[in-house]
Amino acid sequence: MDKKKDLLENEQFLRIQKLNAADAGKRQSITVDDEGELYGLDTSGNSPANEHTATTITQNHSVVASNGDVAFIPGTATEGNTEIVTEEVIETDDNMFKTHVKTLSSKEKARYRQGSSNFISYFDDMSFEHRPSILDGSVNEPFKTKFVGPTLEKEIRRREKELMAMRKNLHHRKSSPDAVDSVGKNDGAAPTTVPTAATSETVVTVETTIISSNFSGLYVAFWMAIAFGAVKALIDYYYQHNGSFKDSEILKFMTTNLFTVASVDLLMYLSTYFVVGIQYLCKWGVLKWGTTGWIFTSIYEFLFVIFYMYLTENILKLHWLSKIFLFLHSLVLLMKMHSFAFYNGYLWGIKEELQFSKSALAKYKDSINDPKVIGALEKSCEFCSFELSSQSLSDQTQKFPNNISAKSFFWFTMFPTLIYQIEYPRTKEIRWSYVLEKICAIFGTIFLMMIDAQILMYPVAMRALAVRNSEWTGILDRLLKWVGLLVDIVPGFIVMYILDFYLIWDAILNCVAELTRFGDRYFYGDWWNCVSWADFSRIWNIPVHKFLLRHVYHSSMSSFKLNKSQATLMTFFLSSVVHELAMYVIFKKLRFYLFFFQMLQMPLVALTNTKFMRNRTIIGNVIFWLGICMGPSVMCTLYLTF
Amino acid sequence: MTETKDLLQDEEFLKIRRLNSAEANKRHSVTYDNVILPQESMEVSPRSSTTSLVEPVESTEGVESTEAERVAGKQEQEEEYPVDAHMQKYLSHLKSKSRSRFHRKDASKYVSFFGDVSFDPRPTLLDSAINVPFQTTFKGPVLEKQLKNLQLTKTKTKATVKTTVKTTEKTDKADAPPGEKLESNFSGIYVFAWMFLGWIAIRCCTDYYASYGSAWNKLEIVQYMTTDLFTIAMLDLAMFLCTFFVVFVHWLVKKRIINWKWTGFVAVSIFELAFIPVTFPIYVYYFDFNWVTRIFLFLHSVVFVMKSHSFAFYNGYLWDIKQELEYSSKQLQKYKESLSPETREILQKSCDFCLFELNYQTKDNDFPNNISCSNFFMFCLFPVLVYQINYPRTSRIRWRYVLEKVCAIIGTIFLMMVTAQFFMHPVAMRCIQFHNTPTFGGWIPATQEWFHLLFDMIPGFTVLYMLTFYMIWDALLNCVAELTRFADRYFYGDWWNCVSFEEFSRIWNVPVHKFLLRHVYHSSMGALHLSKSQATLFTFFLSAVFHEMAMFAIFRRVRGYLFMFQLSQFVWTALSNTKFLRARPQLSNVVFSFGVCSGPSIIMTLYLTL
Repeated sequence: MDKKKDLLENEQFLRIQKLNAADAGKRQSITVDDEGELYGLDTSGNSPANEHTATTITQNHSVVASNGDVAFIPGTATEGNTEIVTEEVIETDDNMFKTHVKTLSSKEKARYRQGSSNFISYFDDMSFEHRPSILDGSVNEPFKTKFVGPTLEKEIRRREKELMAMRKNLHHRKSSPDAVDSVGKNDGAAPTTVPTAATSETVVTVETTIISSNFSGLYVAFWMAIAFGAVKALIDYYYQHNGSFKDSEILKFMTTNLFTVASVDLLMYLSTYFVVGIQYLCKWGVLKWGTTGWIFTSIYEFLFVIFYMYLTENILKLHWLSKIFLFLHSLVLLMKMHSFAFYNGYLWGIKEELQFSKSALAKYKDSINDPKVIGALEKSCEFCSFELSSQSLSDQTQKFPNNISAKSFFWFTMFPTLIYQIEYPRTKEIRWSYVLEKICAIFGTIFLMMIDAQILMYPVAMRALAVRNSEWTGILDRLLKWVGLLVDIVPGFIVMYILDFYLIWDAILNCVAELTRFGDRYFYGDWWNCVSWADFSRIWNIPVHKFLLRHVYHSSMSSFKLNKSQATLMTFFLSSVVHELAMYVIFKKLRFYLFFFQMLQMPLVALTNTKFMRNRTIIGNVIFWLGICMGPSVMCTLYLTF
Repeated sequence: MTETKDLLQDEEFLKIRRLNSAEANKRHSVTYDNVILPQESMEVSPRSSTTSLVEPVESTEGVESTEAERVAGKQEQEEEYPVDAHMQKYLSHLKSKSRSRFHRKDASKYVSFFGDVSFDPRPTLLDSAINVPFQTTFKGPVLEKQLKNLQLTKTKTKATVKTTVKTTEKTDKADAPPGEKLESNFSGIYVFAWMFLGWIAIRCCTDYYASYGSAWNKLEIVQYMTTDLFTIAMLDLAMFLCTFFVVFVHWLVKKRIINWKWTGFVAVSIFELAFIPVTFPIYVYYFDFNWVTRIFLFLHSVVFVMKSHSFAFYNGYLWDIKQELEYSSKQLQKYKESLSPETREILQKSCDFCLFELNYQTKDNDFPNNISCSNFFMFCLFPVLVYQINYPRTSRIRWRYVLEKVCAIIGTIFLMMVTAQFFMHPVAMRCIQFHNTPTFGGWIPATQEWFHLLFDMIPGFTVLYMLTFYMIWDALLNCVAELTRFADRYFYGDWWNCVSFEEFSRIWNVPVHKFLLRHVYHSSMGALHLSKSQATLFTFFLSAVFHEMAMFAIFRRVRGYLFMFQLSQFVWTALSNTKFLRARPQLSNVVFSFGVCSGPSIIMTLYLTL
């Protein structure tokens, strides 16, 4: 069943990718915009690593003058090497030194906030904290710890008592003198008490409090309704097929080629350790990341995906479900490799810069009287020290480059995250009852998804294929049939979509996080409240969003010198290409429907930011849900029928 | 569509009645128990004691006038003798009643007959919890912004202490306490739920159109909803007009043509007891209506009986109080000098209490000026079953809100019709076929088939159940309340969080619960002198009888399944009060949800097949 989990996990990953995109052009609030500026500045801090990667070692004076000379410093600092460095520096000291200082001065703007000594770190674009997932924090935990049944009635009853007591006091004070009057004249009683009644009414009228309430019980009812629906569907299927489930296509999909898929998956996983090898070579001084390491890694990453696509398609000829699982999993492993490699690559650059700046500072501190030069060197040392130190605060033994090890990479591949860091927030213990709960949720949800796929979606898919294979009778006729198929598949697809989301982002990721004691459970935001697609692309899939933010958006701004909107376009484009590749893996044809819809998000985001739409959150949410309900079904039926 | 609305409203009323019941054995607070108990015995005591007093009063007056005419200025001793006898009797009654009229611990506090039910301006649950926040404060996803603000705060904090690693390390740990609480809201899920249902309905209609074209009129549910509308309206109007009989009776009492005690009381009681037995055969047998019509008319007749009963007995109680007040005042005034302080205090207390009761509800329309056709008419329009002279009112009608609710009513009826036609009607037909099949090859295959039918029924019935609840208690009652400016919108509680069926029976249908609390539970304790548990049993029994009558109106057969399930709530209540379940509200809620999902389907399947 592990394979089934992985299959579905990555099948859903396809859908994530289908709809996920990197950061949008506009931020929601001024504060967030400030953070955006922070990100913008920080992306320049990314440039040292990339600049170093472009540098080549050469003794030629003219070439040296046109490139960053920092690369001349060797990785290790032994006494002998120091002497060698000294000799080299003597030969080209003036030009190299001036170039270095110039570079530092330009980088300073990106590394420090204007007019202050505060750092802007490369790593400030995101952080991991101890955070529960939404369903745990908002629904599950309150249900388990605070749930006592209906609360509204108790609140109302308490208020009623207070109000009645108040009324009685008012009436009681009034009725004593009234009684005396009534002895004399009975008819006079009514007018006398009118003010009292008015007073009571006024007190009542003022009280229009909105009483807090909770909807935990509806959560239970929701799952029970789904369960009853599934049981009914299962019983119907059982009766229609002579008491057997063997005819189920979905069951066949889920149970064939499991060993082959597992073997390929294991092979893919082991292949990722290549990047650890590269880092080891850099650590031992055999390679330099800035010159050759990043090239080898980039080539390897590219070939990695191509190879496994080719393997599953042409050599093993696997079923579409297996292929899409392996494709999505190869993407996950690719992203993990990339983050590990380029994180350490950046720190290699920082380390080299630190060594060079320290040497230059020690050597020229007395002979150079320019405060700016000394200041630039000192700031460079401070910044580089901070970057290296701030990443391993709680465990000094793991300080870079000691973190480069197979063990460290292994743990990174186990954690439910795509962004590599030396340290993550960890929990103290594994809650096994929680793990058991999530495992039950995983299997239960897979079961529901299989039923949904078999009974609600598979028949429509077969009809769609029949339409495609039927004789061409004109575009209009086919469009009419397509609309019919679309309406048929929407309900089943909505359920599948929601269950997929719950299975992966809540059940599986939380289960893995609990097993590895990973403390940050913020895998998704409250995307169901989205009012624009910009919101959705950010918070639907937090892990991938973080990866794209750091390694695509910010990297493209620093490496290719793109501006914000160009970087956004670049990120959307890359995401669309990957989504289209996923469609190709499933349907074996290039149609660019998904590519088109993916890129369509950009004008939609622009529309959302117009003056008319910006403040109409309710309409925005309704439009969003229309898109979520129809989008996947439109996509699926388009690829199946055209 | 008005008739359609009423049809569905009262169809659901059947389901309410099926599951609703009166107050359970147990109260939630000691104070509440104390308040209710003395009042109940007080409720009916005035009637019985007043009954015995009416004749003595009349005879006393006769004696006085006779003697006055014959022997003017004669010995005072002769006058005192009849006064003493009657007065002593009267005083002993007042003495016994004072025990239930005044608070046990604080003698200066009244225990009013009207303290059991109160109306206040309150928003309905979905409005206050979802609709209003969604329309006024909804800004999209909020969790991400909160997290970013947190992160920014930490970044700023870190920036100021980055000079030393140790300081930063300490700050880091301090900044990240485990299990931070962040707010989130699920308003978007509300939009999605309705959109999802809409898509299913569209798909069902599209499928039908593809199969049968535009033959919508052939659908059985559409036929049910559109036949005999005029006849139904006429019958409903006739029943409504009949209820004004109770106004006529009280008008006669007001004009002193008759007395409430005995004559009025008997007339109204006979009317109420006869109303359903007389109307029931008319719409169940005489007119050959389909079952939707029958159940609508039955439920509506029950509503009419409850409204007329509440109006009649509320005013009847006040007639008794008024009479007592007049007599006590007269005696106090007449014999002020010659009475002992103790006697005078008793009479004074009686006057105080009666004044309090009469003034409790008085504002613009004091008793007995409230007895009028227009007042009763407004009471009939209000979405309430317990009569009061004054209710909390809003200052104006929000027409946009009314339009919203009208759209909700029409939309929900549409969804219900789709659900009934495509998910339930086929299963119902199979149930009838199952019923008509003489043998099934043994009881094991028959049981298997029955469970198959049950599981087929549950999903559709659960959806219909939820939609019916929403349509009546949220859309329809709120719409009527807005149109009549009725300010108390507490028609239902958060019943989906119930941990016992006892709670469910109280807060699922608040209007009926209030009626049963005052006019069945408390009345049976006062009039029949039942204990709490006996009164509870009586209330459940009466409710079960009405539920079974509803089943008879639909299926025209008496089986007792619903009656049995209704009374089995006692067992469930006892189970819920065990130590094991009381400590596990989550488990209790799951059990409750299971019951609510499967219960209606089980009952319906039983009636259709056996």
